[in-house]
Amino acid sequence: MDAPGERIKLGLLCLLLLLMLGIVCSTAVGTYRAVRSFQQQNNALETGDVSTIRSWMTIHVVAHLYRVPEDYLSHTLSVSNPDVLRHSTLNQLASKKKQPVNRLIQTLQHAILDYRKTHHALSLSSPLRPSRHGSKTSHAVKTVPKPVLHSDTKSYSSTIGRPDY
Amino acid sequence: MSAFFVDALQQYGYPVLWLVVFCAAAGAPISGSLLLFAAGAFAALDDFKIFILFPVALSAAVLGDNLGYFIGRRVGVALIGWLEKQKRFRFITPQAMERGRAYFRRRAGWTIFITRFLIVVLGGPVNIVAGLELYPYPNFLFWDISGQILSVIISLGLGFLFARSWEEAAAVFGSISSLALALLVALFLFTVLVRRIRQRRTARRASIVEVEVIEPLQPQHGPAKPNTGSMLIPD
Repeated sequence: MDAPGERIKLGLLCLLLLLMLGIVCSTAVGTYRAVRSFQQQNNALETGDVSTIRSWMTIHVVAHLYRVPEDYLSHTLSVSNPDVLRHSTLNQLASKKKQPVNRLIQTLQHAILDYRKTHHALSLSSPLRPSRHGSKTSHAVKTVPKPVLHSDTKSYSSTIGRPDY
Repeated sequence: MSAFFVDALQQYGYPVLWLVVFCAAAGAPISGSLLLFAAGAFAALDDFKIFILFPVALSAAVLGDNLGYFIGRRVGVALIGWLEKQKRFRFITPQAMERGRAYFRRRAGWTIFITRFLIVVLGGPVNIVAGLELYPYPNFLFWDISGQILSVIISLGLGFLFARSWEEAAAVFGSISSLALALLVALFLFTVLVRRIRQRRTARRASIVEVEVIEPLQPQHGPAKPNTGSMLIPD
């Protein structure tokens, strides 16, 4: 006959193992969901979906990923000194402007969509890895026309549309 | 918290990366690998140089691990010695410590190596335990540097490759890490359970054999008595 203490120990061990198997299943489901989310995010990015703009992005990164001129985005967000704020994330810009980051992101989303409407030659069919050097820019980027900049006032054409805050 | 560090990384660059990775490796409850993913992504987006990121991250991680090791070696050993003298905890005895030391030394190399890149969450505690258990420093350094090279390559590389969705890539990596940890614990519990069941069976067989050996040796005088020995045999 086994000692009762030994039986209790075995029972506890079985219970712990069952609990651990439950945790394994739960983390496996979590991993599967993370992979799905990763795939969805990648697909959305490849189609140029503006809902993928994140608070960690800088204006430079947004311009790069969504193929919109950086000056245009800086102008849209009323950033007066884009060179100084080149490394500021949208999060930081929002706190500087004292407004929620989601609102700033929405403004950018509208601006990008407006830009695309105006410059319908934009082609998003060929997904890009963000190019790091000007010479390596793909043909898709090269065909993007620059926004019309009035030389006298240094402001963009009103057709671009600048959303109000 | 992570948003704060990512903002700081963009704003102040390499020093922030070094500091955060160092603190995370030393055992602070912050995610150094998440920041490495971000740094890799920013390198792909032309904000950092990947060949500078690599030595910066590697030096920070290795030095942080060493700090944890020496904290364990200097402070931990003294603390355990004091606890042994106090006799406040029954399980902290010289024998138990020696058993623990021997157990850790058998598996320390792989433990240190795996906790650098796969089960990152245990990296800090393992450094302290390695110091506490007086694991030889050259061996610790070898396994630590090997694991950290792999860790930095994986984190920076995946961040660089999936620059546009580095947050999701980091989440996938984190989930895989949690899954590996859960599987490892489940496997350990399973092994212990199987060992216990085997020990139990062996003990039962031994008791049966003992009864069978003893019974024929017993002299049978007078009328036959009922076999009480069979009562010992469990179902």
